[in-house]
Amino acid sequence: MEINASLLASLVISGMARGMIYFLLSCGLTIIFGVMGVVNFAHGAFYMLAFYITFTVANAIGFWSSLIIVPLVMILVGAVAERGLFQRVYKSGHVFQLLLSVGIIHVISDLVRLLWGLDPKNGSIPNLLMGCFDMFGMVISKYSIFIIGISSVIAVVLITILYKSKIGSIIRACVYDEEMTRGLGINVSGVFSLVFMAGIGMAAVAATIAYPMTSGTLGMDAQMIIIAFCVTIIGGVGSIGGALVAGLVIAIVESLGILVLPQYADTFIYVIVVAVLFFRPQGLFSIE
Amino acid sequence: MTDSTKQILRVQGIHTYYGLSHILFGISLDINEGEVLCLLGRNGAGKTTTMRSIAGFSPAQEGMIYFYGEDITALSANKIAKKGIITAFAEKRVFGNLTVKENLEIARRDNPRKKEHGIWTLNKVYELFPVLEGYAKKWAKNLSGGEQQMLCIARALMSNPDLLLLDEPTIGLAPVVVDDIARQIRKLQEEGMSILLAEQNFLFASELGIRCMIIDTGEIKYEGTFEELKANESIMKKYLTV
Repeated sequence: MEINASLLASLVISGMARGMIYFLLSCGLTIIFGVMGVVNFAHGAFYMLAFYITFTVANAIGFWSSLIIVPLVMILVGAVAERGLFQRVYKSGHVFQLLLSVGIIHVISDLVRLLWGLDPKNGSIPNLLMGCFDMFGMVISKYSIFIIGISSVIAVVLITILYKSKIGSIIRACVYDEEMTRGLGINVSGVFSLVFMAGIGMAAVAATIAYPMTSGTLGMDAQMIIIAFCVTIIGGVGSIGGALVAGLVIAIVESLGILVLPQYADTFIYVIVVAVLFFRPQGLFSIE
Repeated sequence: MTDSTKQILRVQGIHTYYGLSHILFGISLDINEGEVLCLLGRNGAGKTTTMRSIAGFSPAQEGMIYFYGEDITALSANKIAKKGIITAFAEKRVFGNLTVKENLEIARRDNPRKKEHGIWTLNKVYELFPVLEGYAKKWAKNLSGGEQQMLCIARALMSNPDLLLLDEPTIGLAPVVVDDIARQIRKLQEEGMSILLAEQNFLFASELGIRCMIIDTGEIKYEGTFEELKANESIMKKYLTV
């Protein structure tokens, strides 16, 4: 295959689209970790559940409706999981949180197997967004542009909330010093619920927009949680901006890696993770 | 005590533990409205733990704490803060990742007990701490130690507390900054703020308070006025590093 500018550009664009999905998935993990100190290993499982729900909803009433319905359903699931389960282990340390998360992973996996079976689930790109643009000799899929557009809007909204609103200040304050935030009379457990629900909601948005271009199988959760952790490590715990940059970097490196050294494509991500852990263990955009 | 002085806080024989270690052994104290009560003692004597217990961060396992006559012993820290007790810690726990203004704004809270003219607003806080206004948009982590301490007190004021717990506000600060902070605390006093002040700095504390207590190894060892304490050299030598 000949490497030229237009091929590179196409790969970067499709990498960016995937990077934005990684960002949406990971910002929930990183902010939940940052605010509550909970390492939610089940985050990928929630993503998988959202993906399968999208399959059902999109087939029943169409992809566009699922874009609204699935995140709302998952926010509800997040609320139940936080109030009913995670709230009980906030003070119990990482081991109990890990046990709970692993339990949730198994429950969700079996639920998915029971309800949707073992066959891979494939979506299709809605007619409106099928096909490609041809710009200056570059072939760019319309759906990639759609993903980049919608995720950019979400990123801008999230960052605006986080940096320009009072609730955003409170969330950042919790990341920095939760006890002191409590000491100012702020209802931190309410903030926890909100952040958890929002985080699962974002994972659901990621799953829904990923649905038309990926194949859903049991085990996809493991793959996604590892990526989400890489994003969190590279970007810095609790940093939304960091998750955005790290998500993009990982996906673009994946895309270009396939071009350069296909047999080692997956390795590049971990090289970055190791380098970050070595030179800047708090992450590129740590809040400290 | 006359009937017109109202008791704001009453701590009765509290015992507090960190895990298995017993830190406070039956601390009792009370503060009247508008009073500055000084809690003196060396490092590790139990000053901070007393404050943490009152504020609900490290709840007392035995004993009672009453605020305006209401039992608050078992309330969570955020509920106690909402009732009107706010702590400014010695470690100057400002939110470093927030701007100075954001630090102040997230603490803003109304207090139905406060009269109109006594309400702390951003402008009123800036009046007391002019240096903060100039730094409104600066990240709090980039302030100097003294400025962080001022921000810490200013942030506490924004929630319009009835009782301010000030934990060693002068620790690690240059003498000239200590003078600034003393002046600011005196202004608060003039406004009628009730303050529990923990200090190692005897001179600083004696300029602000009338009544003081000495705490050592988790017990109250002395209670009286600064006048009386100054005259009592043996107590001074035994429990304080003057």
